Amino acid sequence: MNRTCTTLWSSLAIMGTLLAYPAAIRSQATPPPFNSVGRSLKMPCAYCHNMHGGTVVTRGEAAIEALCLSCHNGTYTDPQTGKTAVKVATHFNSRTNYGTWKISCLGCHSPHRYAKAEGTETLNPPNGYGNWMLVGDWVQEASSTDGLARIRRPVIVDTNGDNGGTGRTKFTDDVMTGYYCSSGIANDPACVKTDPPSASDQVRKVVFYDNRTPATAAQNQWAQPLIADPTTPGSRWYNGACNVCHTRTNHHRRDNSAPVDHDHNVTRACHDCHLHSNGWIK
Amino acid sequence: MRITDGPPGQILVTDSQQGMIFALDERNLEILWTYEVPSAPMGIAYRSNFVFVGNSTTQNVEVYRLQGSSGGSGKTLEFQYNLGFTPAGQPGSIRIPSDIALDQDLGLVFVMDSGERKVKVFDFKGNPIRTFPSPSDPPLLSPVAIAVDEVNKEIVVSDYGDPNGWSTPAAPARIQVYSYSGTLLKQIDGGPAPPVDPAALFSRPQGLAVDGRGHIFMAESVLGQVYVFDRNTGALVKKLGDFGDGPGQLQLPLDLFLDPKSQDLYVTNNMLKRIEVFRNAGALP
Repeated sequence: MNRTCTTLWSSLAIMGTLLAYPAAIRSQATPPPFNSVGRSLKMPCAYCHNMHGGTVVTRGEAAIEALCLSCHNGTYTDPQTGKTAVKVATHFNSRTNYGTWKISCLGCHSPHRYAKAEGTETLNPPNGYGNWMLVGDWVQEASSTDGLARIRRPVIVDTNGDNGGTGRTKFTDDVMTGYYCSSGIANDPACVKTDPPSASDQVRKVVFYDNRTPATAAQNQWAQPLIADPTTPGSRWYNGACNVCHTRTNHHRRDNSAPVDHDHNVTRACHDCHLHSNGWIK
Repeated sequence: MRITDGPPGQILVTDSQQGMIFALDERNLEILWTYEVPSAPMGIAYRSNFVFVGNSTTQNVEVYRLQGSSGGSGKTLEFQYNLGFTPAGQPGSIRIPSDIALDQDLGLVFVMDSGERKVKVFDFKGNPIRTFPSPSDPPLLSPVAIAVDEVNKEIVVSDYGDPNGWSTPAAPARIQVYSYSGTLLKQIDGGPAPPVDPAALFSRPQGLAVDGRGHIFMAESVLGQVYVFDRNTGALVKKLGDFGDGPGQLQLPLDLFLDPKSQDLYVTNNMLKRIEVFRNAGALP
């Protein structure tokens, strides 16, 4: 194939790919993945997206998680900054009534999002950090001008197929009645939340703290929260990221009504004890 | 995390998440004994009842003596001394001991300090001997793992490189072979990171093993495969495993141990939280 022909076919392929994009995606310039100091990782789109499949198809979550953890395992040091990538582990459990589940990196982090705490999405976060790469809505609620990130309920994968044998079943972003139950029946009414979901339930606000030091405005690594009292028990701000799911467990409820445990340490952030490096499990 | 040989019939594995060392029966991978290490153990090596553990929290290598019955169970570790217990920046200091390898005959400990991006060489008593690469040599960019070829007296290092070009010039992931004195002898380059095509060259090289017969085994952490290279030509000789969660499949493999007697290859399969064994995988033409 000569060069002209190659160029023509390449152009057609690109046009076809762009036309296949949903309009909402085409209408905005999607930034490439960034690292924690705001530098492009220069990853090819095709690592995660199937560019020729007629639509944007992501690779499996496990493959993307492997990519994240290939650096975030405690051994990788950035060649420019000399800083070691934060060691993390994903949150999973096989001991709950919801079957064996796992929240992959993409459940909380968006590789395409880099934003500052004030709530304005930007590629130039203040002080090098923002409320970093969180998925969720940045549109401020009409009743709020706080500008903090909102995180939707993370996707939970039923890795053991416990949910009625359906295998790879997920909670959806906007349906809060999808709790897995020991009965094995999806959306079993017996397991559905007793407090019906509301609009504010479906999208919770998130405050992330530096898990290496007590949260103070000056020391926060990931957030400069513009909130009065983030550690007030029962506050809607209280440990928001965890509260996306942990609303009615025996060990923690965001309204501080858990019957079994965690009536201690209620003035501290979850992340003080439950570290990302340990999969959020104490 | 990391894996090595242990007492006869055993392999040792560090679990940096749980802060544990596991000793496994090499025949059936049953857990024989465990030891809780304060904070996060990373690299590990073993020599005649001494266990060397890289601790990223205390930033040194802790040396333990294996105590207990001669059988497989009932063991415990007794702390002996540290390597690298000197102030940061001083000779012999260690920041992140991400991997360890030994030369049993010469009594040398090779520590991959991925934080300072140097190989630190100690004697078994903990005295620092040398550090390389020297400032006048090409630097390691993002090194993560190390292996020692005791037959040919060579050190093999895996390095993520700097494919983003944040250093000058940009460099792909690579495997580098050094002499014991720190002279760069050989380099095997990977491709741009990360590869879209699984058939492409490696980009996230992690744990290493050598067979002393000119082969280098390398865990490709993103693609979930083990690559086997010819040390002299740099040619890819063989691939083991593929990405997935079934038997023989890998997700985030981070380290290897090649049993010189059985030629069995043990791989830490990190995302799946298990050890994968490729029987007789070291038997190459």
